[in-house]
Amino acid sequence: MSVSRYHLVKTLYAKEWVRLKRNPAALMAVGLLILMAFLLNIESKAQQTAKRSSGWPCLVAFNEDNALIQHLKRNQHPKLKVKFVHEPKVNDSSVRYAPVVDCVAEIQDVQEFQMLGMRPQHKIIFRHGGSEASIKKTNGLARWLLSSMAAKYSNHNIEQRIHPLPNSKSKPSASLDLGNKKSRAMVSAMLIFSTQFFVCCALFISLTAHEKEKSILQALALTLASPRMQLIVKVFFHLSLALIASTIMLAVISPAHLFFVGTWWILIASSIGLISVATILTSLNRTQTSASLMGFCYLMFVGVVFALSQNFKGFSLLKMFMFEHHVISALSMFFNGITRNNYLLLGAHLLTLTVIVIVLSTVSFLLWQRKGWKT
Amino acid sequence: MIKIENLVIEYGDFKAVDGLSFSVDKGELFGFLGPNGAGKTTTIKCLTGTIKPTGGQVQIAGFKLPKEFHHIKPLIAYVPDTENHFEDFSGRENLQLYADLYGIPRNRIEIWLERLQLTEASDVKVRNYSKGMKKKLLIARALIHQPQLIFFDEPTANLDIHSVKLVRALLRDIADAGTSVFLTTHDMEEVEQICDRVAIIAKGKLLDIDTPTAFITCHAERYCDVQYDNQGQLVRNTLHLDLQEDKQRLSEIVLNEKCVRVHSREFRFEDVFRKLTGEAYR
Repeated sequence: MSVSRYHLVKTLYAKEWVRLKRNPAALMAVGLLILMAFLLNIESKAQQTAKRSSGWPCLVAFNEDNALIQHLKRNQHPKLKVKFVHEPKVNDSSVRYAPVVDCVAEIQDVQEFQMLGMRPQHKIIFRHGGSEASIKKTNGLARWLLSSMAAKYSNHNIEQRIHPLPNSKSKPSASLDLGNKKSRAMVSAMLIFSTQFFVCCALFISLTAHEKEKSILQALALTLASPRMQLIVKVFFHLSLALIASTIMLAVISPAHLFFVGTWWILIASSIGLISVATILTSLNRTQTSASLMGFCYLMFVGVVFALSQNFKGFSLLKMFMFEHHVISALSMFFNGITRNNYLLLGAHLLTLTVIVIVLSTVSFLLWQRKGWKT
Repeated sequence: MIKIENLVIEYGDFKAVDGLSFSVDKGELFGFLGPNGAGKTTTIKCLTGTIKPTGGQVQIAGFKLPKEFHHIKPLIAYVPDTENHFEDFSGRENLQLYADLYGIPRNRIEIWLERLQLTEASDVKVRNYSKGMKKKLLIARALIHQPQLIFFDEPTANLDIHSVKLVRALLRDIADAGTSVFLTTHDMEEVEQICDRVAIIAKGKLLDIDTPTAFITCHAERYCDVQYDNQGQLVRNTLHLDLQEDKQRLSEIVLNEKCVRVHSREFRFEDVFRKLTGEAYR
């Protein structure tokens, strides 16, 4: 009785596909994540449109069309488009500007000081839309306005404040600005990693731990397919599934990155790393329930370490030894655009990622051989 | 087919199997019996390559375990006591998978489906099978590659009386065709009916090994139930005919014409098993 290895691998691979086909609900989470990627893309485009609309002029609202305003009108900002509007109720937070803008300078000429024979005083309130981009733009407007005023009226008193626009929706410190390239890159990387987690870790644990609990792996090990071959086929199956899902995600999020070798390196290493974690968890648990719970705990652990690493050095150090950190960082760098400055950092991420994944996969393989497939 | 010499299997400090030695011939239907926790499943696990022996030597078809297990694998099959099918697959798909993994032509599936009376349900998902049907599918799966040695763990558990008859006949047939059958069961009637030889173990040690008939002959304890009239009252008594005192008492009852009824008690294999294993645990 001799059967080629190719035939055995093909049979086991087909078995995995049929199992998945009979349980389509298992891929529901991946479908939802791809849907999220679509939504992210639509949202990003909407925000980019909003950003383009922020190419609309900044407003300089004034209550008195005096010499200062005339001076500013003559010496416009070289890059920023500035529109001057007369607003008698300037510096009143109830004023709404139309069309909606995200960068306003309200100049109030305070007459009382001149009447008292004191130096003329101008009260200026800069208002921003809340997003990082609008704050930057408002900052540019403030620099131009203040320097122009200082050049012409160095003896005038200026009182300045910065406030968000009353109609601004986003809060600069807490919310996620998808119009921001960096944030978008991070969210995209997280979405791709989450997809890989579901395919390589959650689905792997679910299918394999079930076979282990039911002694199916043992029954298969008694055929011509060895436990090692079973694991290799499972790795290939989940890897291919993860790459298919990741390709769809990439095509939705950033199609240009489909042609980067580095992106594929990260995706393959990340998938193998997650499969290794799943193999270890399956090997250490006897039942599907306990293995699945451990998979959930693993996800929580990664999340907690990432969250705490922002404030605690110990967790920050621990994160360095986690391949998940290197995957997300490297993917974010790719999506954010690689510059000469971060080539070295990217290389370090890729190298560390590869080393960690090799160590993890070796441990998982040894554990599988020793006790992973046995009930 | 199987040659075991001084097999020892330990789990930490606990000796699950302690110096087991016996052999199974080709085409023999061998019963491997013992009470729960005697070490039967551990021995089968060792013979099917799941656990490694701590000591001793095991040979199957001339190949040493665990070193040459890759040579042994195609020659053996194992029918576990619990069903381990792919529940989302039909019966036919389950058999097809195993046939493909052994490189067996798929037309052989039909033969075994027919033989185990599963043809009608072959395209139904195993999830919807009864326990008996699942058991029969396990047997069909084990036989599909025509192994030289089959391990059966409780093959007739959960089967109805018709299926029990079918499976027992099948076991006898495959043994007669030259395949060795290694059977563990708690059904003593089954052992008495179909086994060529039986080994009884307890606490990981071999108690005895022989044919069921020889076991009964060697270990039989002859009893008879007597009813006799004792001054107008009917008295019932059980007498052990191997004891001189009881023998004399029986002859007295018969000779004094007081005897109403004498029944000889049939000594079954179950009694031998109870006697041997009971002594081991006393």
